[in-house]
Amino acid sequence: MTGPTRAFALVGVVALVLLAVGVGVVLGEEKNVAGTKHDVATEGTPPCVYCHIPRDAQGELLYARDPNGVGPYSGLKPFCFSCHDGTVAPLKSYIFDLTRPDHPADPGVRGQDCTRCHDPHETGYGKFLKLPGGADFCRNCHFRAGPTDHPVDIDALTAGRAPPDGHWDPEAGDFSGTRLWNAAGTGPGSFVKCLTCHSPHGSQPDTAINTVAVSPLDGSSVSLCQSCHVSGRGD
Amino acid sequence: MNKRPYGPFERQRPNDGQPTVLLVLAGALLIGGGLLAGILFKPFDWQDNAAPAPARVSELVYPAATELELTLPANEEWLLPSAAATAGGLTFVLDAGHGRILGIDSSGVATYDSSSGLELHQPMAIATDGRRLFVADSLAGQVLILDLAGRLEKAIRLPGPVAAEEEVRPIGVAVAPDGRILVSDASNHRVLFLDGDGSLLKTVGADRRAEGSEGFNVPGALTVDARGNVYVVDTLNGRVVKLSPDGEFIRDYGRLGGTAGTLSRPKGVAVDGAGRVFVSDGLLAAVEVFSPDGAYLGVIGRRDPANPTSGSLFQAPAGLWLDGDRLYVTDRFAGLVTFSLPGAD
Repeated sequence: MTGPTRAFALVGVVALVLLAVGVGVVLGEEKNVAGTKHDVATEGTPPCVYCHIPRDAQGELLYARDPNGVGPYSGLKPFCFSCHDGTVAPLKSYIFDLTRPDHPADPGVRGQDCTRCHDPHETGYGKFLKLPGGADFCRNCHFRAGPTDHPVDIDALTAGRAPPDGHWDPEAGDFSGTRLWNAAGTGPGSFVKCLTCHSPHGSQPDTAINTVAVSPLDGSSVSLCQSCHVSGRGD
Repeated sequence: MNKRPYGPFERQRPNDGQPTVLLVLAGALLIGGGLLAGILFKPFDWQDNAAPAPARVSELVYPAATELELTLPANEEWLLPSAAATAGGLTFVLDAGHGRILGIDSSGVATYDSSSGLELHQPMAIATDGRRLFVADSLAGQVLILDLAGRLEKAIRLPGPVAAEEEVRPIGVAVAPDGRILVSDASNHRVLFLDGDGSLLKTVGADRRAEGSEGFNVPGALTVDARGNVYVVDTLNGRVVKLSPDGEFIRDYGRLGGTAGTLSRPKGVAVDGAGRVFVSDGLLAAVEVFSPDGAYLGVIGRRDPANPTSGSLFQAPAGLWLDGDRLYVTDRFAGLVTFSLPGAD
């Protein structure tokens, strides 16, 4: 192979590899979105274009999609809200009630918007979460090595110890099997999870504790007491 | 063997790979450098004799004067208000977050609150014929008809398609001059034409996500012009569809995009007496205006109306209502913003 041929072949091979990788990434994403709730495409249209809106090369950008830049309604939030506002999807719980924090999102800070926990392309774990749900999800950030005054010992399982109530479900495989009540295990199955006391949406700032009575938006309740003391159970 | 000596050029011909690569690289550098130099230093003006460039479309500002910015009523709070309509001297605002209607007087005080007698579930659209209010109660799948004192006259339970997988979710409502009621069903991608009593006359759309003249992809807000033509926000197709009074497709306004004259997430629609179409866009934080034949006329809602780059008054503009020459924009976070439009009536 002569020199120029070799050089062109090299460039060609690199270009082909890059093209293949790019096409693979795009096709992979489309495959994930297709058939999910985020697939809002009409027949024959790729689902990408409704969010990755094609830029009109001839036109002037009207403005940035983030009209504020700072504050609770900034960053990617306006983008998510542009469908999750009661039109394309109903409003849910406290998610876009700007008077209540979304734990632990910090809108407008790169990597800390809704996409800190959710990925619209990820379908493996439910609710478009980026990682498996349950206690292990919370522990992606809330890992701890030393002693704690947290009422539930969230490191019990990894340390091989039982939680403070002395009872946990060895079959559960993670902290979600911890029981605070019904030590005999004959209760209604009120296994305590992180979400029993905490909520990422509509809870208290800092502690993310559920204290809110009933969301006016969808009637959902994240009341702290009622997550265990359910009327009629007699617990 | 007597070899012919190389000529001066032949001697310089590269005969191995490395100098060839260098030569190709040098050529690429030369071309790239030339391009860069041309772009940066513009040694000559090739557009010398070209016609002057037209004004950039994003510099088009539609004449409108801001009259009122009501973030919250003086005596109440609303949460994610979705739409408003004016009747009987009040502005009736849908407080979607709290599931109620607030009647706001001219001084910004809520003098009417529907929550004592009505339970609404994410009301998303409101219309009036001057005597009654028509409310699209989205999660209840109903259209409610109230008198101007807020008394319930009728609750219309909307029929779903035969093979519906989804509940009917009305997020748009309008009343035609002949008394017919128009409702958009976001879940099933269709527009319902009802008679004044709420009986179904016909449906428009494919009962699934569709585009072109075939149907809608999440039909939203609706309005009707004086001739009875129906304008439907087609949310995910990034356009407003104009239907004849009989529901035949006439044309559309806008297309999906992120630039002036296109629509990213159209939310509200209003039409003035001259047929100009006003569309709010929740993602572009703007109200865009189109001529009856679809030309882009400009934007409403800049902080400085003369400066299109001065930022938006809006955060998430949604419902639009036009009463005479006054445009009411309901913003999900910024509240009620009104404008006077010269010559809109």
